[in-house]
Amino acid sequence: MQLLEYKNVTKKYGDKTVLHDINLKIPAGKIVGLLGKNGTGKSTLIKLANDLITPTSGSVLFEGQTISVKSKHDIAYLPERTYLDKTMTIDQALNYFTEFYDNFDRDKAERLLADLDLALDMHIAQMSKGMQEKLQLILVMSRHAKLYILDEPLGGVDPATRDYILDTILNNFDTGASVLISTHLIADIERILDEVIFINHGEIILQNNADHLRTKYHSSIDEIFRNKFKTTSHTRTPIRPAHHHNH
Amino acid sequence: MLKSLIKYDLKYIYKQLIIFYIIIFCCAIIARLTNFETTSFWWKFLHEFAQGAAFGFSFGALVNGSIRTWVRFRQSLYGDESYLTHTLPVSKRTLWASKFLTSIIIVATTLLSFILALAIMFWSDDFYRHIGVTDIAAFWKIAIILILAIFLQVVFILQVGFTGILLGHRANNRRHLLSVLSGFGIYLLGGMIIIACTFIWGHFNHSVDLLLRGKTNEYGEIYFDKQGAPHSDVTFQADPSELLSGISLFYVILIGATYVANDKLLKKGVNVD
Amino acid sequence: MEFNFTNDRPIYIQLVEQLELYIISGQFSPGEKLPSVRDFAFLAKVNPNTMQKALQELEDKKLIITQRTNGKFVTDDEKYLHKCQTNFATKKVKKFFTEMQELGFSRTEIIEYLQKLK
Repeated sequence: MQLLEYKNVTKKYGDKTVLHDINLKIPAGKIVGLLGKNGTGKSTLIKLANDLITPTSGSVLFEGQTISVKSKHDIAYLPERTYLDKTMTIDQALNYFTEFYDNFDRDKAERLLADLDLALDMHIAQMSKGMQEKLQLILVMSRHAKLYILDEPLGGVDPATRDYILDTILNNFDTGASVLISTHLIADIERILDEVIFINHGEIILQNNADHLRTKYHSSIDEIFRNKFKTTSHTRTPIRPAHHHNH
Repeated sequence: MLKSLIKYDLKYIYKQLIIFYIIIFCCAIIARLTNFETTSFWWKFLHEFAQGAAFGFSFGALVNGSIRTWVRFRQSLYGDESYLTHTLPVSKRTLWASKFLTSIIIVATTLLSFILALAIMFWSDDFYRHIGVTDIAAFWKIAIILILAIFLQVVFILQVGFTGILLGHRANNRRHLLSVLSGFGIYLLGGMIIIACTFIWGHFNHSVDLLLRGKTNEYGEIYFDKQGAPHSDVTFQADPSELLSGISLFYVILIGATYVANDKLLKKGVNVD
Repeated sequence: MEFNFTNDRPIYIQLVEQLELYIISGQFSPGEKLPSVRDFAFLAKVNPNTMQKALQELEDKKLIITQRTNGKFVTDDEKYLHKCQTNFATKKVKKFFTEMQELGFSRTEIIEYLQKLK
C-alpha cells in the first residue's frame, strides 16, 4: 500500500488550472524529491495532502484512506512560512506540540535546540528568520511520524545551515517513514534522494529512482532537470558522453 | 484536544480583553467610592466620569471581545497559523465546537463583568426602594430574562460573523468584503426571521399580541374591551417577560441552526492561501 | 573517514567504490564491526537506503559479512583481502602505464622514470 497517493487530482482556481489530473504514489521508507520550478504546483500538491485546500476533482489518500484526523497524526508538515504564534516563547511552542501531538518527542526537540544554542525562553518574534526556520524544522523532525513533508526547507539559507538541515533530515526520520521534500534547489539536495518527481505546469513529467536516472543519463539530477525544462535564458548544458571507469 | 483548542483561543482574546475588565472594575469602584453628597465639582465630576467610563468600557469590552473573537477565528482558519491549525490531529467538528464554546465564554465573561460593575456601583441595602421596585420577584424575573436575551443576541451576532467568514472565504478573492457582506446579510435575515416568528406567535398568544401592538401603560397593564378598544373597567396584565422568553427561545433555535450550518461549512473544507 | 560524491554518477556506486577502498587498504580492519546502516549512512551523509544498497553490493563482493543478530562485519578472510588488494593495484598500475604511454613514454622509459623518482 502506498503511503500517499494522488488519484486523478485536479485543482482549479476559477478558470486557472494549477494541477492537472495528477496521479502520484509516494511509497513508505523513501526520501522523495518533488522537484520543479517555482509556481509549477509543488506547494499546491503539498497543501492537498495537508488538508489546507480541497481538490477540484480526484482524491488524495494516505494509507489508502482520505485525509483525516488519523493522517494528520501521522504526517509532520514543515511549510515555507512561519506558522507558529510569534508571541510564544520556544518553551510555549514545545508545550503546544506536546499537547496536540502524542507522537512529539519533547526530549529530542530540547536536545536538538540545545545543539543550536536556542534557549527555551526566547521569544519567537525576536528570533531571526533563519532561527525560526530551524525551530520549525526541529519541531517537525521531533515527531515520530510516518511521512514528513518539507516544503522548500533549504530556501535562502547559508551553506552551514543547509548542511545542518540535511543532516537533521537524514538523522531524524524514523525507519520505515518517508520524507517528501519539495524544492527548486536540486543540486543541494539530490544526493540524499531515493526517488525524484519532476513537476511542470501542474503535471507530473517524471517519477523515477535517482540513481537509475543518473545511470541512464550519465549526469546529475540537476542537469537532467535543467535539460528537460530548458528555457531560452539558460545556456544549454550538454549531457556528457558515457565514461568508462576502470577499477 | 477541545480544551486545549479553547485554551489557546481564549489566551489570544483575553490578552486585550482583560485590560478592559480591569478598567471597568477600577472605574466601578471609583464611581462607588465617589458616590456621596458633595458640593465639590471635582468629586461630582469624578463620579460621573467614572460611572460613564464603566459603562463605556463595558460596551467597549463587548466590541473588542467580539472583534478579537472574529479575528482569531479568521486567523486560525485562513491565516498563516492555519498551516498549524488544519494539520493538528483534530476533527473539523471539534475545531468548530472549540470556536463556538470560546465565543460563548467570551460573551458570558464580558456580560458578567458589566453586571459586576453595576453591582459595585449601585448595590445597597435599600437598592429596591432606590429604583422603585415593589415586586422583587417580578423584577428579578425580568432582569434575568433580559440578561439572557442580551446574551443570546450577542452570541448570535458572533455566530453570524463566523458564518460570514466561512462563506466569504469560499471565494477566491475579495474574501474580507464578502465575509462582512454575507455576515451582515445573514444577521439581517436572522432578525427578520425573529420578527416574523414573533408576530406569528402573537397571532396565537393574546398577551404577546397586545404587547406587540404596544397598548400598555408603564406597568405593563393593558386596558381593553371586547372589541380590543381601551376600557377603564378591565385590566389585563401583560407580562413582558413572556415575550422576552419567547424571543430568547427563537434566538436559541437560530443559534442552533447557525451552529449546524457552520459545522457543515467547515467540514466542506477550506482553501488557504 | 572522508567520503566524496559527485552528483552525476549513482551515489551508491560511488559509495561502493570508496568503501571498497577503505576495506582493501585496511582502514577498516579485517573482521572489524561496521556501524549500523543508519549510523553509517549518517557518517557518510547519505540516505540509509543508499547505504543499504551499497553494503549489499559489498556483501555480494564478499568484502562484508552479515551476522544475523550481531550486525555487519568486514570479512576476516585476509587472504581474500590481499588478493583484492593485488587486483586493485594491478588495475591501477595498468591504467598508469596506459596513461603514461599516451603521454609518449615507452615501457622501459616509464620504469626508468619511476626508479629515478625514488
